[in-house]
Formats: sequence, structure tokens, C-alpha cells
Amino acid sequence: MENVIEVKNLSKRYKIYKSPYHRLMEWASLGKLKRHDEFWALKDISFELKKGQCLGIIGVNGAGKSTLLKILSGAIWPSSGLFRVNGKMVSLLELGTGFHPELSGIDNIMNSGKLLGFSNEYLTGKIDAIVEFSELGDFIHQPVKNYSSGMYVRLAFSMYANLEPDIYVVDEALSVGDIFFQQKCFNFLNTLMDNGTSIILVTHDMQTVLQFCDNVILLKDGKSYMEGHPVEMVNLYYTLHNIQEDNTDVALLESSQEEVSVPLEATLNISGAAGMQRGNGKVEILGVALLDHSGKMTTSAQTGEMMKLVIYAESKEDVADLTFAYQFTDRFNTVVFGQNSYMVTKRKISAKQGEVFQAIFEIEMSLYQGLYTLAIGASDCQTEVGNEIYTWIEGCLTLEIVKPEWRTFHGVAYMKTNFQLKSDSKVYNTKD
Amino acid sequence: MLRELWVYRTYIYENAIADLRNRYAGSLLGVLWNIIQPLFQILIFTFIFSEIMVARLPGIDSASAFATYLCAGILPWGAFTDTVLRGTNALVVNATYLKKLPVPEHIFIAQVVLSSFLLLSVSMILLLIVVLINGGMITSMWLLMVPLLMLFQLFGFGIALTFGVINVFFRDVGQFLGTLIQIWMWMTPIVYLKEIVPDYLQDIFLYNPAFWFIDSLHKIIVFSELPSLMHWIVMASVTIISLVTGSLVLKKLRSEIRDVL
Repeated sequence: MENVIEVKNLSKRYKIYKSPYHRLMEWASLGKLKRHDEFWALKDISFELKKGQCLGIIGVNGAGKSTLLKILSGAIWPSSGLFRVNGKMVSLLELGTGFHPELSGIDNIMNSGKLLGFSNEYLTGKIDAIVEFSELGDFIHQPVKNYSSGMYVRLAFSMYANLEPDIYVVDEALSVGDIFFQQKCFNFLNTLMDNGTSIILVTHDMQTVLQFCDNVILLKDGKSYMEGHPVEMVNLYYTLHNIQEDNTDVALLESSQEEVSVPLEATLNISGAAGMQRGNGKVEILGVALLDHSGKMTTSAQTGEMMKLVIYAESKEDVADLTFAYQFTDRFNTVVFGQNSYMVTKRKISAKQGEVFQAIFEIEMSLYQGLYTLAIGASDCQTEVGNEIYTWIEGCLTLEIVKPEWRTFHGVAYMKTNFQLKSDSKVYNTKD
Repeated sequence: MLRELWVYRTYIYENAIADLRNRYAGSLLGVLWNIIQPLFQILIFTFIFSEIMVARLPGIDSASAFATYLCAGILPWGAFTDTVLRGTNALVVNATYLKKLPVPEHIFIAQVVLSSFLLLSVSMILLLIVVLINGGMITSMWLLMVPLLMLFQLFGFGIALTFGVINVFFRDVGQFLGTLIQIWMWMTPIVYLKEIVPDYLQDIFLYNPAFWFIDSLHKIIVFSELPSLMHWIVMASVTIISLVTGSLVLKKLRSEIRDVL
């Protein structure tokens, strides 16, 4: 198989000067004096990336991952060693930095595309697809300085996804952002893998490494500690750094450290809610979104499909007794189904003032075909009597359950049914 | 080097234009300021030196001749200064791009050179119009200004490249150059006539590269004379020397520039 990247004995040394005078002295002596300390960010790295393969680069912060990427992209020069990159390489981190705040979105696409070395003709051919993918609408003609950070990332990502370089660098930039964005990224990674694009994946997320990589390099202190099969390398990484692999803990830790960011579309669902709103406002709902199994926002589903309902909320004061709730109503205004988190988990949530929540319900949409509206809310847990409602918003989303190819039932609710038939000669039996 | 400039030519061109546009971003008249400013400079000089401090050039019987003389030198010098000073800072200013993208360093300097050349072209056309209105003579000789000003800007390009690269390592260079270029201006006959300088100092001009450019400009615009062959040879040589020096300095230090930025 053809190599798209070949790296041989690559090293990068930084000269550390205590003061600019030391550099001046070296220059004045024409290099005879040595007045600097050396720091080796990379030492003697060798590897290759074959066409269509995914190479993972893992290692703790400071292991030399970004130095390696910068050298491969040509942004910095190696001190010794050889490397060859066949074709164009694009990383998301690069794209965002190429944007000029005064230029419009569309000008920035052209501009930073050119900085990456794509030709004018190539970019002109891609521009429509990029603009459409970004879903920025008329904002694409506004200066980028007016963009929200979410729009900024969306612009960068649309470029990233629509340019077709020979090698993609998937870096940590992809693991920031909200759940929608991450899910979009993973879908994108999957398509890349299917198309046979070569990928360099740099991440701390070992699950992703295991899922996507064909080969992994483990960097330690600038040296390639080992190269090999993903499973071995990930295990080695954990033993080397004594990191306990406990997914649930990690997930909890991350969500409590990172700020919950509310996607624009989710806030629009609230501001554009068609129905009645009430409540004392102790907890404010910031956004809501309905996601399909792949994490895309959607307004339609099949009967029986698993969906995620995500509610974003902020508590305006300390609340000791909190539950998040949702309710589906059909076109006759009949409540079809409603539930809250207290019913599901039997736990009350307590909130501090200013705390921002992302509440996720996983729901099996066992509804009959037709149009439904969704109400969401936050209240105390006394759902039966004398209930204190913090916020209640009706009509914030609509969901269309599409007509199935094979009609399996009619009526409002789907009731799990088995069927048996006995006659004198045969026995019919169905199991679902 | 040249190949890289060619590859990034549209980027350089578009960003030079953007420079001009952004310089007055947010102002009501916007791009028009690029015309208004030099126009007023020319008009003020013309008014002051033909009406208030009437100065005449020896051998020319025109009240506005000195103003023309002044503009002919000071406008190109202004563009040259702009190229050298902004160009020297261009790498530091664009550090964010250089640190993350594989773009060649000198395209950012080329962008500065081009934008100040475009601005200079506007000024020179305005000067030409003002001279015409004042009853001056415009000859086909003025066409020589195009290669002449290009050479002058390229001379500045080489200097900006040399010091721009060094400036990355020693930021004092940019500051130092600002002072140096002022001294240089007064050592060049721009606001005064070279004839007023004592004889024993006359020869010093010959060692000042800028003198040859300014003197050629004066010859064409004010005195309707052709610059001598010697002028052209000197101008071409110093331009080549400055560009080659710049390229060598860049080549020598290139591997370290992005480590320091």
C-alpha cells in the first residue's frame, strides 16, 4: 500500500535563551559561542501512514503530539530527520486560526483556504457546499467578528468537512463543543473511514482511539515510546500513566468540570415556542432539542425509534427540590405521555444558584403516526398535588411520527403484543 | 522564494486590498480616505509653498514648482517608509498564522509592499492631476515612473525582509529602524535642494542609495529630464543587493523563526 506520510528519525530541538543578549552574543561570535540550553520536544520519531488508514497519536500533555503535528503540517521546521507528506493535509485547529475578524464568512473561507494552499478554482467549486453545510444563512456575508463562538466553529467545521484533503488531522479541537457538535464530528469520522481517507487522530479519548485507529503511536517525553495495535497501546498508556479506566467516573468528572454550552438551535426552540409558558422562574429553561440515534437534531421519527430529549436549564436561585419534565400532546390536545426525571430515577435534584444543567431523557417513541407537540418544564417533585412549577413551556418542539411502511397498530399508544392462534391442525406463535 | 510568491499571489493581492479597506474600516467615507489624505497633503504643500512661503526652484519660472518638487520626493519616500516599517513588523503581526500554518514568511511582507505601492500609485496620479491643473508639463517621460517606483518599493521589500526576519529575534530592530529612517530622510535631498549642500558634502549623496531614486524622480517630474544610465544601474544594483540580502537572511534563519514567534 502507498504511504501518504513517511517520517524518519524526526527530531525537534528548541533553543532556550535566558536573555536576548545571549542570542546576540552567539550571533556576534558567528556561532562559536554557545549560550543556550537545548530542549528536545521530539527525539528520533519514525513512522509511516498508509493510504486509507487511521493512525492514532496518544500521550499525555507535553509528550510532543502537537509539535509533531506542526512539523507535519509544515508550520515549524524539524531540527533533524526527514519527513514526506504526499498530498494536502488539513487540521481543524489550523482552520479557525486562519480567520480574519473583519472579513465576512464567505471571504474567510476563500482566504483561509488559500492560506492552506488550495487554489482559487478549487475553493470556488466548493464554496456552495461549504455555505450550505454551515447553515449560517445570511450570516455568511457578515464579518466573522459578529459571530457567536458556536457559529465560528460551525464555519470552521464546514470548511474542514467539505475540503477534500488527502490527509485529515483530527485533533483535540474536535472534542470540545457541545454534544451535538461532537456527535456530528463522529458521524463525520465514520464517513471519512468509509471513504478511505487517511487520518491522523490525536486525542486523549481512548474510546475513540480504540474505535477508529488501525495503528497507534504512544509518545512519551518526545520519544516514540512504542507503536502498535490500538488495544495494546491504550493499555500501555493507562499503565504508564496509572490512569484508571472508569468510564462513568470520567464522564461525570468531565461534565462537572466543563461548562454546559447551549447550542443555538436549542435556544431558538425556546424563544420560538408556540404554546403557553408559566412558572415562577426559579429555574429557567435555556434550550431544548430532540436528537435521533446518531445525535442529529430532528423533528421526525419512526414509531419505536430511540430518541434523546435534551433540556438545558439554569437555576436562578438555590433550589433543593427539582425535577425536569416533558410531555407529548397529540393534535387533539390529548396528553399522550408525560414523565419527569423524579419518576425515572426516584431522585430529587438540588441546584445551586447559577448552575447550568443539561438533562437528557432517552425515550422510545412508541407513538402512532401523526404530529405531536412537546411541552417541557422544571418543577418540584410533588407531581401529584400542590406542585410548585419553576418553568413550564408548551409547544416548544413538534415531532412527526412518520407513516411506517408496514402499519403495525393504530390508536394512541403502542402496546406490546404477542399473538397466538390455535386450531385443530396448526399452532401460530409470534414473539416480538 | 519567487515560486512561493507566485503560488500565494491571489492571497497577497486580496489582502493588500483588504489592508487598504480595513485601514479606514468603520469610517463613513471608508476607502475614499485613501484618496482624500494624499490629495490634501498635495494641496496643502501647493498652497503653502506657492502662496505663503513662496519658494522657487532655480531655473524654473513657476510658483508651484517647489511644491511639486516636495511632493515628488515626499510621497514616494512616505510609501518607502511605510513598506520598510510595516514590513519589518509584518512577521510579528502575523505570528498567529505563522505559528500554525505552513505559509511562507515573506508573503506577509509582500502584502505590505503591494498595499503601500497601490496607495503610492493613487498619490502619484493625484500629483499628476494637480501638476496638470497648475499648468505643468506632462510628458511621456512620466511613464518611466512606473518601473522607477516599482524598483524603489522592491528596494524597500529587501530591507523589510532583512530586518523583518531579524526583528523576530530582536524586537528592538523595529524601534531602531523608525529612528534610523528619519535620519535617512534628512540625509536625502527631499525637502531641500541638493545644490544647497556644501560642496565637500555633495559626494556623500552618491553613497546614499535613496538619493538615486529621489533624484531620478525629481528629474522626471520637476525638471523633465531623463535619469542617466548611471542612475538606472545604481538603482537596479541596490535593489538586487537588498533583495538578495533579504532572501539570504530569511534562508539562514527560517528554521528558527516560528520557534521564536
